[in-house]
Amino acid sequence: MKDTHETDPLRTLERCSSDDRTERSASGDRLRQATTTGRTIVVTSGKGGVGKTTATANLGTGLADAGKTVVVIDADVGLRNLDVVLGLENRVRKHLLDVIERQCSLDEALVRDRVRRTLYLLPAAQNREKDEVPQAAMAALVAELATRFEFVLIDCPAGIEQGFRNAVAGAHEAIIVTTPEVSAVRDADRITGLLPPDIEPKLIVNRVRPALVNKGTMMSVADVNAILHLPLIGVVPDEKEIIIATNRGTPVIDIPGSQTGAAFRRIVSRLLGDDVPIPDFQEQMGAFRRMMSTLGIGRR
Amino acid sequence: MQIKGTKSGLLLHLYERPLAGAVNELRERLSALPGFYKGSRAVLLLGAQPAEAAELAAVVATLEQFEIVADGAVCDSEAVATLAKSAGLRLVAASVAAAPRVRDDRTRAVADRTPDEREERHHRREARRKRRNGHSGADLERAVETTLFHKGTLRAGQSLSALGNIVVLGDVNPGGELVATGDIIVWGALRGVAHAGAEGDEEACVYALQLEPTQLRIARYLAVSPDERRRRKPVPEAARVRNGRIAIEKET
Amino acid sequence: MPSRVFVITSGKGGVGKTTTTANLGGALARLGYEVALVDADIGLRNLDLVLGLEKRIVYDVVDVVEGRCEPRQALIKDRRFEGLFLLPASQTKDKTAVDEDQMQRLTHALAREFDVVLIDCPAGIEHGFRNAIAGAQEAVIVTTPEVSAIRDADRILGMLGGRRARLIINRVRPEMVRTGDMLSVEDVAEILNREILGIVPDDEEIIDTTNRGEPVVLDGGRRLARIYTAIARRLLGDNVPLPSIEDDGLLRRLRRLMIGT
Repeated sequence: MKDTHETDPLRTLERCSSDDRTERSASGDRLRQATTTGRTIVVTSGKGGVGKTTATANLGTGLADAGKTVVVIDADVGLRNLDVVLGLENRVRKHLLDVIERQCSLDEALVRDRVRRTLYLLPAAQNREKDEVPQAAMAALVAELATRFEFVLIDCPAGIEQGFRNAVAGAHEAIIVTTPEVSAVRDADRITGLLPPDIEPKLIVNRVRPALVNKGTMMSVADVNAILHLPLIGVVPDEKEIIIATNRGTPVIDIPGSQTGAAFRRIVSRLLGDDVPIPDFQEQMGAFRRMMSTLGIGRR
Repeated sequence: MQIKGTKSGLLLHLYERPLAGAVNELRERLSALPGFYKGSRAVLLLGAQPAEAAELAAVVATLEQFEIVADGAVCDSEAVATLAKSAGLRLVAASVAAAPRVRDDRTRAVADRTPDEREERHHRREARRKRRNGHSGADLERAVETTLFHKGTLRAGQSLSALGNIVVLGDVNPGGELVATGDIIVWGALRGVAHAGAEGDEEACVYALQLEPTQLRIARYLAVSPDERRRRKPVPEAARVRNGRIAIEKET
Repeated sequence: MPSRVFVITSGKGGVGKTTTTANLGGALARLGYEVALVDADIGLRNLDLVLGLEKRIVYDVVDVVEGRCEPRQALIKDRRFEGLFLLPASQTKDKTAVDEDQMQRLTHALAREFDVVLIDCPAGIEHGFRNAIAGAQEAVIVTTPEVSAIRDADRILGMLGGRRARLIINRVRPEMVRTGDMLSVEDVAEILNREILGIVPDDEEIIDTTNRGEPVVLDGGRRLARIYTAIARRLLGDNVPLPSIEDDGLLRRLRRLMIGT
């Protein structure tokens, strides 16, 4: 079909701009069929405690709900937490380092989720240190996982040291998580500058409290992105349900009525190419809740 | 080649190439006062330009002859960092790995110099300029000065330094740093730290469409942003040294 | 000899190390001590932001260690707290810029000039962490009542080389503890098995104060300021009783925990 338009460059150009998304996803599918490579996304932040692990767990869960095959990798060697957030810590036997050092096969280390059967976890080692993982080995592992899974999500440790460099090795995409708070934004900016030039990161602004933004005591999403200048892939509100969920090992996406969960579902949709608008958190809370029900909370 | 003594040891400025030249100079200087540095540790400031492994080994060996232990290197490029590591030197400062895309390797050394060193270099250059005959010599020297262009946002932790001017087509975020011996122009919001006239030129200026730096430096002068946050519409402004302090003026 | 140099660490990021360092430093200064705060998070410095001192930074830790300046040139005097000084980290370098020996020498030099030195440790257990603890005599572990944080704190306890470690439990929400949705202070102390220096309740105003660079201890009348002041006194050996955050029964149990570890 492309051939007939090749003689008329202007028309080809027009088609690209209006049907850009369908073109892109179509060619994306072709690419995937040609090379059978899944998407490799590192979830990073610079600052600790802003919600990388929670985001990785919930996005992985949401993608699995959308029918995708997903593996989430805990790249935080020595301080692993992804297993706890997913409620899988009792099933961890082997880990990332065992696989890299060929002490076991990939299949022996991968932990399958109890509920979502297309979601797998590659746990981190608890008793080793980040310097022990060579970057090249990590990149090779990620590449191999990408031949078996449609999505490879890498939970990055805090900081800018070897742990960060390892987590990024092999990733082609990045999601930067920040909170609307000066130190977090500063660290996110630093991290953005340290990513390889071919990765264009997307931004999640986490723990937003619209009431505080309205009061003027919290940065707005616009304030955050006036510094970060990144394409926004999600805004996640803060609520106490997150702590409960994390402590219980249930992804917040599974808690009925959770606005945080709904936000993560929207991000999953955007990752899959749907143009879901980011709700305006400046509206009153009542209107916000009505909007949530239209988007269907809890619907799988 | 400079040798600087500090409380923790020696700093050797080894930016010039070939490094073999430094070896001879080093031997000469150390021979002049043979026992003076005995027992010290030395950090080698190697810069960004690649060098021969044998030359670096010769530097280390020369130091050892005078009982100086070379145990660290400050490297400004991956190539030099690798070289240093193979010579058994520990990396004392970050190499280009921290900001590979934006650092101007030729001139990273500028930011690492102390204010005294920078001023000394400025006066030497000015003296050279004066020695030339007539106006044209000075113009020629000025024309040869480079301007470093950077397109895009300069992020926290990234640093640009240049012998000459710097132009940024984008924002400089808080935590970002610009160091220029000449002028600085930011076609965007300047929110980080800018140091113009870094080697002592008090005529240097800082221009920005939105001048909101955390800190501004021109030559030896320093100014900090005021405490109150002003939320007014941004207008292009310039910072210059006037009457012994840095003044901000509107640029039309 | 009483300790002078403390590292404020946690393992997990984002639990409040930097905010604790800033407020503890301010409280100690208000109590009359000469205090040096060292930001050991090279490359991701934040202590200067939390203290609102960023724009006054000329030299940093790396400059001192590389001999480009004297320590006193790099120390920034906080004009709001008499006796409080900050040695900032570098923003443009990374943690390989400094090693453990250098950190040790630096902190010892500071300990000779100051009554107390607090080192703000980066998250994690990598090079930066090892640098930060190198010069410290004692550790203060900051944790929140969450499984991930406690797990990481526990890991850190095993890496302190025998240094004394005491706990600050941060961001406690008593109403969530009551409904069983959050671990109690008692639970945390039992798991980590260390003396408690203090319990800091969750307070949404902290976010605003950190954004504005105004540590909450600036206003001595505020509840949080009094809590940090008590922690400061306990840090240096005063036997200040822990206030009730939940109920009297718990207070009795907590007192036992505090004295007998």
